[in-house]
Amino acid sequence: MATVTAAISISSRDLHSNGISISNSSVLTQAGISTGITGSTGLASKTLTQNTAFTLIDYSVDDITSSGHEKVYIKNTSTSSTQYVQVLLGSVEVGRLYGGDWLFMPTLAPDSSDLKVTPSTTDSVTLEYMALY
Amino acid sequence: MATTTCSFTLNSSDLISTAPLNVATSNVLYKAGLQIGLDQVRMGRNEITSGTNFDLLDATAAAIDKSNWVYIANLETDVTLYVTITIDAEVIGRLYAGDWMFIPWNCDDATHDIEIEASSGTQTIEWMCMHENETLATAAD
Repeated sequence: MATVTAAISISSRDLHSNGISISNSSVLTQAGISTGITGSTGLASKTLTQNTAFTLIDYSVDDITSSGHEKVYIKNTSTSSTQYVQVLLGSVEVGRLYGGDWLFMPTLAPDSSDLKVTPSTTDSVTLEYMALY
Repeated sequence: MATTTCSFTLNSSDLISTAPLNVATSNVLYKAGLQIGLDQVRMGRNEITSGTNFDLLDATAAAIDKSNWVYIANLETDVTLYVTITIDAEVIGRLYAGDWMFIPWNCDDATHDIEIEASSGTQTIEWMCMHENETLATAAD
């Protein structure tokens, strides 16, 4: 087992008149127990040049089981504020990552719904990503 | 417009024995396709009882293709407890006690709600949605 810590900080002085400052940190553990996770895809990078769906994380190939504690990190390394990458689970679009955006979310490793991404244009875009399980 | 910055770190010294994991990034939350900061926010703290899948955030037609960023944290400490997050009947994943998530949320349509269900007991969560383009509904009375 390993000790993996994921932390977030959200801050704004003017989104609310009193300011916003939220911090949270969690140690990633296996489902239902306090033992640390053991696996990852490793931090990977993929450059896409077509605006068609690409399977970023193939749960069967990557040997990710549906234990329930799996997490995914994805970052769009582009600097474009107009071009984005759709993040999809099955046919459902979770959301869009514009240049510089990132996400960190749980994923249940569904049988038929691999995690896919679809760029908005054919311009080159590079994603950094990692599944932890 | 407002400036909201979201920072992330992912660290481990032993997940990969030969290479410590040190990921750090941050982004400023903008309106969709623009470099104008998001200017609206909703946040809350709720107790989620088991046995029912609840709407945590309702998708609206006004939010389709707009920028919405959602943070959810499970505040429980019992490691066996979790909440399941669903969007449009697709299970996204589980947040076990202490877990958090941060995602962009595109309201594809008005049924693209973010739903939440507790595995058992009553679980406390905190959430925040930073967004654009919300207009309050006209009062019915």
